[in-house]
Parts: sequence; C-alpha cells; structure tokens
Amino acid sequence: MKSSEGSPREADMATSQDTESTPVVSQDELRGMIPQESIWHYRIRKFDVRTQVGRLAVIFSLWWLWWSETIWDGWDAISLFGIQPFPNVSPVFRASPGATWEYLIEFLPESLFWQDAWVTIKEALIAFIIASVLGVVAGIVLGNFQRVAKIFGPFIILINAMPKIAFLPLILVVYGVGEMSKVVLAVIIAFFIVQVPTQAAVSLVDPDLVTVARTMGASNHQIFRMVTIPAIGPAILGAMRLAAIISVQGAVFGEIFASKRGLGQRLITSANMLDYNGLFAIVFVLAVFALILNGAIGLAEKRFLRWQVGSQSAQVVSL
Amino acid sequence: MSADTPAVELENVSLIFGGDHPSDEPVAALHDINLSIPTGQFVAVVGPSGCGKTTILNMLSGLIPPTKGAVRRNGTEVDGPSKDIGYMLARSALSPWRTAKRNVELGLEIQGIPKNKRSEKSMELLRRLRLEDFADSFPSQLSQGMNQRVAIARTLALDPDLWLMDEPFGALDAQTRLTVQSEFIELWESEGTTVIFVTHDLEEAVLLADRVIVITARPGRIKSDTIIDLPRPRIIDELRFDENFKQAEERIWMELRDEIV
Repeated sequence: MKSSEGSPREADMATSQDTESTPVVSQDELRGMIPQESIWHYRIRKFDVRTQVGRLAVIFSLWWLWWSETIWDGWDAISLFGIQPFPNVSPVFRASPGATWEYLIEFLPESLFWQDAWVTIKEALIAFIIASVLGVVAGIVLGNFQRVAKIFGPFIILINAMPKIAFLPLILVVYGVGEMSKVVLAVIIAFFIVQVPTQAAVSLVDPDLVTVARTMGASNHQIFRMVTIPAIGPAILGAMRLAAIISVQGAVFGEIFASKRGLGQRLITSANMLDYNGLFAIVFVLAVFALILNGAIGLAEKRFLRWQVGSQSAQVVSL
Repeated sequence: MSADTPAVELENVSLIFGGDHPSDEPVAALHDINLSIPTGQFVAVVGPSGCGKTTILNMLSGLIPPTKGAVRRNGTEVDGPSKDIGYMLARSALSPWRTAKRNVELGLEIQGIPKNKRSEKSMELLRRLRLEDFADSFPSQLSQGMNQRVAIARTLALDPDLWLMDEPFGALDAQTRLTVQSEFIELWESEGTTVIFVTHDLEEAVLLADRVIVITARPGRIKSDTIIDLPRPRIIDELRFDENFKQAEERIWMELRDEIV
C-alpha cells in the first residue's frame, strides 16, 4: 500500500469499520445492557403461546362442529337466491368422529389395508417422480431455447388448458384399470404444475449474473451449471411441493373412477355401502401421506435454500 | 508488445443498434470514437444517460463487436471475453446462493483453479476489502456497500490487467459511496492497473480518475478529454473540498452541461 500510512483519515476509517478489532463496547457490557431472559422464558417465547392457542382453538372448533353434528344438521335457514349452502345431511350419510376412529382402529392393523395404501402411494410416488423429472427437463429446455418454446409453446398451453381428468376414460381403455392408468393420469396433471414454473424461472434468471459469468470466460455449460440451475432451484422445489399433493389427488381420483386396488378403490367402496366413516378415515390417511411427501420436499428446501435468509420462502407448517 | 503500445485503443469505432430490417430504424449508439489509453491510467467516462458509455465497456469486454472500426487491447483486436479483463456491473450482481467468499471465487471456479488456491486468493481479497469476517455470509445478510465490495473483490480475483467498471457505486447512498470509493481508490493506487470507469457522477469521476472523458448525447462522440492533475494518493473525503478539485470539476461540468441541458 503506497497510500499515506498513518494519516488521520485512515485511522478514522479503520475505527469505523473494524469494530470487531477495537470494540467500543465489550460483549459482556452489551449483555449487561440487554434484559436477559431465562431459558424457560426463551422456550416459552419460541413456543409462541398465542399461535399454539389459536391452533388449538381451530382444532377444537372443527372437532366441535363435527362431534356435535352441527356440520351435518346444517343451517336450513340460510338461503341465497333459493340455494341452501349449508343443507341438512340425512343421518344415513353422516360420519361421526367415534365411528371414523373405530374404522381406523379396525383397518389400520390389517395388512390388506396397507396393501391398498401401498398401491396408492406407489402410484402417486412414481407419478410424482416422472412428472417432476419431465417437468423440470421440459421447463429448462423451453426456457433456454427460444425457438423450441416458440414451436411448442402454443400446443403446451392448449393441452394445459384442457381439463385433463376428462381424458380418464380414454386412459383407462388404453392403459387398463390397473396401476398404470393412475400413474398416467397423475403424471399428465402434475407435469404442468412443474413445467410451467420451471420455464418461467429459467427465463427470469438475472441476466447480469449471466453477463458476469460470461465476462469471466464461462462456457454455456458452465453458465447452466453455475447460474441457471441454482437460480431456478427455489421455483422447482416450490413447484414440486404442489406436484406432490396433486399426484396423490390424481392417483386417488383415478382409483375412484375405476380400479382394482388402492385407497381410492376402498374409499368408493365404503361410500357405495353408505359407510361415510370409512370415507373420512381414508381421506385422513391420504392427507397424512401427502403431508409427509410435502414435508420431505420442505426439508430439501431447508437444506438447499439456506441462502434465502430472511426472504419469504414457503415454509413447512411446523407443529 | 512495445512499451508504448496502449493498453486500450479504439480506432474509428462506431456502433449501430438495430436497422437490420427495412422497417427497423437503425440507432447510432457511438459514432467515430478514437481513444487511446496508456497502461496504468485511470480513465473516467462521463456523459448523459443513454449516450453509449456502457456500450464502450461491452465492446472492450468482448461482449459485443463494434459495427465499424477496431477495438484493441495491448495491440491485439478484442474478439471475445477474456479472463484478463475484470468487468464490474452497476448492480453488484452477486449470486444470492453463494457466500461472499464463494462469490469472490466465481471467476476462479470458471477458470478451473483448484480449491485451496481459490480459497487463498478469495480470503486475501476479502481481507483487503475488510470483509474477512463476512466470508461465510450470504449477500442477503450483508449491506449494499458490503455487497458492492464483494463485487469488487470478485472482479479482481482473476488478477485482470484491465478493470472495466460500469457505475459501480451508483446504487449506494452518499455516505456508503464515500467509504467504498476511498477503499477502492486505495486499492487501485496500490495496484496501478488500467481502469475505465463509467459514471454519471462528475464529482466521482474527477475525484478518482487521472483523465476524464466526456461523451456527447446519442450518438456518442468524444466531447472532451481532460487530464486531472491532482496528486496521489488521494484522500477522497478531503479532496472533495480542495480548490484545485473544484476548478477541475467546474471546467468539465461546462462541457457536460451542454449535453445534458
């Protein structure tokens, strides 16, 4: 450094920046200035009593609506343009918490139940993986290559605009009533959930980051690996969370429509026998599975997106 | 390369955007620029916005070729990006997923420098910019001024012999800008590399540079070329109130004013 060593200006600058080398106030003094809380007080604060009480209130209200059968009794008095949004439900179709619980107690230990569950989980998982891989690859290709996007874009939008469930009868004829048709349906639905945001994310990659890498002599491949991939990570993981839930939905819907095995099959059988306790029980099991899948991606987000400090990323609901 | 080969040379350089279709009006961004910069000179380029200042840097960095004329570096024509040029953009443009240290190492990674060498280099630079305690922080955890200093370190990591800087401190508030300017000029004075520094801030240009070039409104031409004869090392926050500095700034302002008003 040939700049004026020891000039008063430089000394000023040093103190303004190197606060850690010559601290004005010591760490202990700082501690003395802040009211210290006990570890228990800290834990209670982190536990966030108000939020937990709020959650309990929601759970209790829902439970009460169901348990007291208020939800089934409905409110016939409420009528909007001659339509009753909360009609009375006939006792034949009513499910009760007790009977739903009994159903779970009865069937959860059964291996047949788990065989059905495994069928649905397998269909949803395979569909989720295929849809994610295809969606990410298609999104990246369409986002990176303008001509490809121009050629295929309108058709993709057209197909995405179609109600994909409407193809189910055709899918069943082509792929049979087995597991394959459920996978195909779920893939068709979940694919777009991943492809659309991935493509958008690729085209939104900060061009300055690309320019910086390019001026440093980066090849296209290096730019893809060091800029594009990390930049679209959050969008992909967010889309995959949705795709996980949608895949379960697709598989169950396919099973309800026509199937040999699976929780959807079990569900529609219960419903046909007017056993709505079974329907509720199975929906709970499916929800738990979808939450686990969602949570697994949440963990991946926490692991890979550590850099999104302070920014609003979709967080797993932690109980 | 003889001793008097300029570090940077623009010869009759013109740049036209668009116009490749009859219905598309061509726009002359730069017109007939002749400029020769000797090795080790700190040149500031000022001019009204849209006059093609950034375009000059883009041509020098090899991102775009001139429509007409020749752009040379150390006597050879520029034909693409080179790791010997450090280009710093207006925004810090740091990778949000990289820590400060790994951001500094970006160019080294691109050039395939082994990990321990990268680490050595990046830590040295972070130390020089007084950021060593923030090596493992992500850009979102650092202040704007700190991020800009990280961007400076990243630009210098490949030891470029030409620094191109596009309004690097434009986004900073006045106080932070002063600090970062001081640190930057201290760093530069110890290195003595050729710098082309684009700014819309005339005060900044005169404070930092050996030579200030004023570019006219579009199409950009060289309006004036002034040597700033202020002694070095420069203490930025004192120099601001120096009479000689004020005179130099006023003289160039007269030139620039015609282009802005």
